[in-house]
Amino acid sequence: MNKPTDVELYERIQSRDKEALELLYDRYEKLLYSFAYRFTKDTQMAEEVMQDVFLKLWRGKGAGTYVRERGKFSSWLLTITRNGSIDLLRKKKVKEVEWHNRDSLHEDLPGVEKEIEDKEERDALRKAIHTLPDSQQRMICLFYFQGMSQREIAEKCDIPLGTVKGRVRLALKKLRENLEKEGGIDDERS
Amino acid sequence: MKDHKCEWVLDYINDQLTEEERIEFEQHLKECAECREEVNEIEGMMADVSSHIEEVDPPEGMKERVLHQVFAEETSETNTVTPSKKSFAPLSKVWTGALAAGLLLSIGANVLLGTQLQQLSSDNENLESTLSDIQVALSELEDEQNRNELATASPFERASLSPTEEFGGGGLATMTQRETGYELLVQVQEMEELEEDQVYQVWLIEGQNPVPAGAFVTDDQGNGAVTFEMNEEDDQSWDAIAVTKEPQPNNEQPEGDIVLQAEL
Repeated sequence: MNKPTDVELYERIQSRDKEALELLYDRYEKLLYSFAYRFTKDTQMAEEVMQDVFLKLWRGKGAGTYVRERGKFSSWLLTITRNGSIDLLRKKKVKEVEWHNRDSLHEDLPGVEKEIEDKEERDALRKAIHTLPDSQQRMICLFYFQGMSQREIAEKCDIPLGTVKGRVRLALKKLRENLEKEGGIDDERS
Repeated sequence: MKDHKCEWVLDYINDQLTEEERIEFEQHLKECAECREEVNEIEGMMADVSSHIEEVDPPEGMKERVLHQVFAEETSETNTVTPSKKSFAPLSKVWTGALAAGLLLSIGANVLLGTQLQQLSSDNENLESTLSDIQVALSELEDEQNRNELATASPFERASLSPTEEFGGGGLATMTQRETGYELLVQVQEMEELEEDQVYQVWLIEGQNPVPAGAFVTDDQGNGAVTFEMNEEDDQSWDAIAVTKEPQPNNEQPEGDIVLQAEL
C-alpha cells in the first residue's frame, strides 16, 4: 500500500482520525521541532510550539486551516510553526528591535536578532544572512524572524508600503541562493 | 483591475490578518493566480531556507505528551463554557446533571460524562460494566488534571476583572491556597454607586453553574473588597469569576447583570 500523502493525512485529520495525526506527527516531528528550537532556543518552548501546532492541526480552524491554493503542505506547516514560535517568543516578552537610528545589523542588537547573533554564530543560515546587504538582512529579520506585518516593516524601514513585498521576495531569493552555495560546502565537509 | 487583497500576501503568510480577512483572502487565492503564485513562491523559499536549519533531537516522550494533550483538548474544548457577555446562560439540565454527579466536580463540568452518569443511575442493571469504563475515563481525566496543575503549580491564581459594556469599574481577583483550603480575594474600584439594598455579588462559575462567593457594598469612591473561604473539597476547576449587581443580598442564583468578569 502506498504511503498516504500529507494532504490525505490532513483530510483524515479533519474527520477526527487520530491515527492520521499520529502519522503526520511522526513524519514531521524532527523537522518542526528543530525549527521551533532554532527560533526559541529553548527545549521547553520548542515543545510548547509543537503542542500548539498539532493542536491547530487537530482543530483545523483559523491558523490551522490548510487550503490547497496555498501550495505545498510542508511549507505551510513550517509557516505555522514559525508563526507559533514567534508568537510564543513575543508572549515571553522578547523586546522588539527599534530600528530607528540604526544603520547596520552588526551593531549591538537587542531582542530577537541579538539572540540569533549570539547563539548561532557559526550557523549556516546566520552566515548566509550576513553575506546579504544590510537592507536585505533587515527584511529577513523583520519578516522571517520577527513575523512583522507589511505595515510594520514599511514603518520600521521607512519605505512605501507597496514596495515591502518586492523587497522581502528579493531578500529571500538572495538568501536562498547564498544558502545553496553554502550548502554545497557543508555537504563536502560532512 | 488589481484587487486590494493582492496586498495581503505577506500578512497572510505571517498570520497578521483577522479571521474574516483570512477567509476572504483564501477565497481570493482561488481566483487570483498571481497571488497564488506569490504565496507559493514566498512560502516555498522560506521552507528552503528552513531546510538549512541544524537538526536537533526532540526530547524523550514529547510525542506522547503532545498527542495526549491534543486529544485531551478535544474533550475539554467542547465542554468549556465561558459566561456570556452580560447575563448567565439559561440554567439548563446541563448543570443540574453535572451537579448531581458529584464525582465530576473535580474535573470540570464534563457534560458528556454527566449525562452518561444520569442515565446510569436510572438504569441499575447495566451499572457495573459501564461504571468501570467511566471510572477508568474519570481517573484518566483526573490524572491529567493533576498533571496540569503540577505543570502550572502556583500558590496563587490572579485574574483581572474587566467591566462588561456600559458598566465601569474594574478589579482584581486573587486565589490563595491555604492549608485548610482556598481563599478568594476580590478587590474592585471605580464601581457604579449602588442603590439601597443592592449589593455587588461575586460568583465563581464552573461551566454554567454559578456559586455565590461573597457579597460587598462599595464606598462613596466606588471601592470595595471581599474575601471568601473555600474548603479543600471546593477545589473545583472554576472557569470564570463574575460580579453582578443584585437587587438584594443572599441570592442563591444571579438576578442582576454581570458588571465585571474574568476567566480563570
